Amino acid sequence: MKTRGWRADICRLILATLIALVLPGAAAMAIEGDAARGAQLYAGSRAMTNGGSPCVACHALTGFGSAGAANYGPDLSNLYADYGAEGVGAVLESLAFPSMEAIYASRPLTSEERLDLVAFFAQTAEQQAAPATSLTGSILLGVVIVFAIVALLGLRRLKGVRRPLVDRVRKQRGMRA
Amino acid sequence: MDIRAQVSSVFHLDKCIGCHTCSIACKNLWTDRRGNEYMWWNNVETKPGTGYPTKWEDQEKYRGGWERAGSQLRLKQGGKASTFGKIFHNPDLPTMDDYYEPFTFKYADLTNAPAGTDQPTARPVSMVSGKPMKIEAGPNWDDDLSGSTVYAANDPGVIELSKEQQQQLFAIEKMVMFHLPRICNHCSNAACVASCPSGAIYKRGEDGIVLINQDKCRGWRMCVSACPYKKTYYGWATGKSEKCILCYPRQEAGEAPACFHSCVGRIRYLGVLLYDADRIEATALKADAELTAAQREMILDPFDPGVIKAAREGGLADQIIEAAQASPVYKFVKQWGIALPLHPEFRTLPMLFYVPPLLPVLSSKNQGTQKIGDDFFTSLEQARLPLKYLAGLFAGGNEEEVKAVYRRLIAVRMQRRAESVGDLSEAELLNARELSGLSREALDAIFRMTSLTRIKERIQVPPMLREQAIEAGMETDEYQQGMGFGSRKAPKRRW
Repeated sequence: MKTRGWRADICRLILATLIALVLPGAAAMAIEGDAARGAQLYAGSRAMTNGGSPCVACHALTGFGSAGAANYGPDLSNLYADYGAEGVGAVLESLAFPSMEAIYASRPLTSEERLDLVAFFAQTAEQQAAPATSLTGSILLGVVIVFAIVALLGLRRLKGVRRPLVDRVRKQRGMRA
Repeated sequence: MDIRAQVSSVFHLDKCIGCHTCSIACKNLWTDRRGNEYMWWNNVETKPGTGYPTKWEDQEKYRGGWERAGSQLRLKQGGKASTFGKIFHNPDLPTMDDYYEPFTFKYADLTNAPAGTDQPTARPVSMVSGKPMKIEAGPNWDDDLSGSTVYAANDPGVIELSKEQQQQLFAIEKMVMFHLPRICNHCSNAACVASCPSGAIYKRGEDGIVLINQDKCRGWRMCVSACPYKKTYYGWATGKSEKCILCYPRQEAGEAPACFHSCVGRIRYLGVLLYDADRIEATALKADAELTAAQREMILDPFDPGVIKAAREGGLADQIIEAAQASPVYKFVKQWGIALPLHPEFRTLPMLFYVPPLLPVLSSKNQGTQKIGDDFFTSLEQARLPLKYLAGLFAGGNEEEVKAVYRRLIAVRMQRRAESVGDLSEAELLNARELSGLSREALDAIFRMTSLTRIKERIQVPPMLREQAIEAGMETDEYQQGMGFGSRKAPKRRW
């Protein structure tokens, strides 16, 4: 495409160099995919050729924030580190997981898409950022904060007048409450 | 001048015997329903005492009524934003224990219990849970000074007194109490109306009766906390708040409200007052001690041609103006000046007035043989109930107001004593009249109104003019066929 000119080429070159430095074994595979296109496929801004769902629908990944952190599938932040380039490519091709099989068996990823995604995962593995915060966690935290505020407000609540009055008088006179 | 009519009342506390007939009449008529067991639109308290709900007068706890915020009035529980902020968790509501947990007894056990060696008993059961319970409080738990070391000693008015005065109050041979019947005051600056987020509470234009629209009420309960007299109640079965309606259906039929009608001691007087609604805010903004006088000032003379003219221009019917002229309440409050509002410092301008009780002045020196004339006036300060206490109840702390009332009440008694016993000199009577500021005729009229009147003179239910109000809007036939006795709708939400 025209929009990807020399700039993208330089990016690819730098990326490839970086990957080659850290993961010499993966460099050969990664260099063939386009990480930027992979990112678009992952996020769903570019449709899969055969109509498969974008990865973001089910997975969380560092850099996508809590809004992009779905939790149907596992967090993919450490995917590349765990599986390596071949592993990721193989999983995307063979659809080893039943839930992914149901989605992609009839709408398989093309080999180009798989390579792009592998390149993208390779790129994110480089970033080594903090793992994505889960949406559930954020909601729970929010609920706890709201409840804490309500509880604080509730401290001023009128907790009864007669009972404390009677108890106080009885205590003053040394009677059993 | 914006002249309004208000159906207003006077309770003569010297005459109240604390029999609770009013409370029972009201209970049987209006609050004998599920979810309303704890409600007493009319209740009778013993003073000194903490009342119902416990310590309702203590607004540091309940945060009812108004307070001054610069040159404006603000609800003590907070303004609109604050109300909205706590709409789901009003923190200022009395607990069930502060009212009392309603109870009944298992009377059926008295006759249905199986034969045994003991007499069967009727155990108390909670009307809330249905389970056996220990009764620890009631709507008149401190009745006749019962539990006085707890309840009377913690009366918010008693706490204000010095230690010495407190001891005097509860010394055995000087022990003193009086009864304080309470209903909704139908205030002219009602805090409940101002607090309602749904706009369900309104003051009826024609007679000033404060009502809660049961169709509009959403049960937020802001009125329950805003009313400093704690006279709006939440109905647990209907999910709506309810309050004293001054028996307006009875009044529309020309009858006295049930509590007035049933009053054994004949302490209750009812009649129309005309007041200037333009002066409400300025009046409610006065200093505590000036509130009673300012409120009296707000009430207008129905015989004044200027007032009559303005009232007619404001749309008041001639019958209402005539009713205001015949009103015994006007006489008590304005002409004679012997009826005072309860806790004017809550700034709601209550339209129910009390003649403070003239408790016996101490006479321990001569075993009751002291001369009535001079001693009465010199010994007001030694009255068994300190003036400070009564001033705290009826005059925002202004003892002069209470003193003035007492001078008049004493003058009435002296004049009657001179007439029936004849042991007081004319000079003493003249002195009494001068101090009271009332004429011989006025004192006689007070005596007559207090002791000899029949129900129709004491309770002057104004013409409610419902027929005219209905005719103005629709054909009477249509109204009768369409409305019948009004609409009865079950609330959507029940449990």
